[in-house]
Amino acid sequence: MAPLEPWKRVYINDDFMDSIHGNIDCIWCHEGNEKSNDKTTAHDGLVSAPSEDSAYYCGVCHGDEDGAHVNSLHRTQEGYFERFSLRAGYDLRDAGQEHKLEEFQAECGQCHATCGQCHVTRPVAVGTGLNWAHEFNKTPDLQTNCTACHGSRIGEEYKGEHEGLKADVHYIPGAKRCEFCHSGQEMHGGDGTYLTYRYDEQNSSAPKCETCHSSIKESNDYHRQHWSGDAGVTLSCQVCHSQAYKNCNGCHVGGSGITGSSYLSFEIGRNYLETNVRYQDYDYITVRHIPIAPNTFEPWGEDDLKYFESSEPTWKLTFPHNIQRWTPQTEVAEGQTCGKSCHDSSYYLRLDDIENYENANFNEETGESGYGYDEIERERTANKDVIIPY
Amino acid sequence: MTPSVCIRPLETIYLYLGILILLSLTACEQPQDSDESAEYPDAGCVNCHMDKDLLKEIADPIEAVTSSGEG
Repeated sequence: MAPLEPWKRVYINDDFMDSIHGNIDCIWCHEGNEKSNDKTTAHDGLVSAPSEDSAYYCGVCHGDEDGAHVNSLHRTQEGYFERFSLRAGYDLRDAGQEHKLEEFQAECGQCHATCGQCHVTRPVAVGTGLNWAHEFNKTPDLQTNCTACHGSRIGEEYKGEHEGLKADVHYIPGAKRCEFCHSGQEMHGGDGTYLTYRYDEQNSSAPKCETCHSSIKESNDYHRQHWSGDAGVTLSCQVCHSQAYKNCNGCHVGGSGITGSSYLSFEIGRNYLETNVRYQDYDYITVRHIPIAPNTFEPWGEDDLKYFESSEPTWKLTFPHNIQRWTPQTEVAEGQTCGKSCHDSSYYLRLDDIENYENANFNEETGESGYGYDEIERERTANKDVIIPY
Repeated sequence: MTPSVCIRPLETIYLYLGILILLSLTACEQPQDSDESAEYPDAGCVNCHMDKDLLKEIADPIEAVTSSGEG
């Protein structure tokens, strides 16, 4: 997404001035010196992003929203911290890790979202700037807010931007649709419970397909077998109704172990979240590759993630945003049974797939394959609970 | 002899008009509570931030943006 022109980033219009927020003194939120006619001195002490301190600036009027938002993943980025901690064995916020925390803030910290980055400006990750000439938008915009950050996977898949793949059936161009599933309550931190990551079992306000579609649970044999579980195996909805999606082999952070390009694939794995009460009912799930290697954080001073293979898989639960009723898994030629398509084992994540995919980590700069044998073995071990045996 | 009372209507009117004009002029010289842009709460800020042409001249350039989130 092209960044806003410099003047547009700070331009305010009459509509804003006529709005409720427009009737509040500028300095109430932004401090600075409104008496000065000089740009530099007028901006002395300016608070350009007041909602970084939302309790002080926003919470005065929006206490309920701000109170829960303190614990939302958009604000805390706890998912990043938690996953790093599981793999490294220590927390980035621990004493003595200040340098790594600085690196984190500089690289990953840009994905932290304040109230303003959803309701007033564009996110920092795409250059920020006033989105609607300072008007406040209760519902963030799909294009300039939500998919500005959640773009290369969710946005492109949802809007059908990959060649040969359809948009999500829930997508209506020009309409605001993220909020159709993702409520304001979810975005603001749900009931205020401190969540450790997006699939935290306590994330009760996260959407589930079943919430809207429970009436068709018994509507056909396939649902009865794989949703109700008559066949003894329960699948997540996406196993049948997702199309291929993007898997990542490179990370912003760098490192030398995983520097390949992303690729489209569709992979079914075993559900490794056996104790997670929100998702444990599924036996098989769609899994997406996470771009991490033992030395991903080498530039930060973490050369080898000690618990890389014993903590978290690198093929992880995903709910691709490209739902269709008819997909390569559900569509078969006339006269064929569904087993021809949906039981096609090429969709299954196998042991060999780990090597095949990680060999794609070709480092264009060095001309070397990023992964050696040891790393592949470690990644196979990391995914032992996800890989479907032959 | 009855003292005569001289009433000069025109001069009286002129006198009152003069007083009115003086009062008006005095009032115009009083400091105003608001200036022409005081319809907005912080005239100093909005004077610049609502002026497209000015902003096009003085707005800070954009720092390089690497990519959208999620890579």
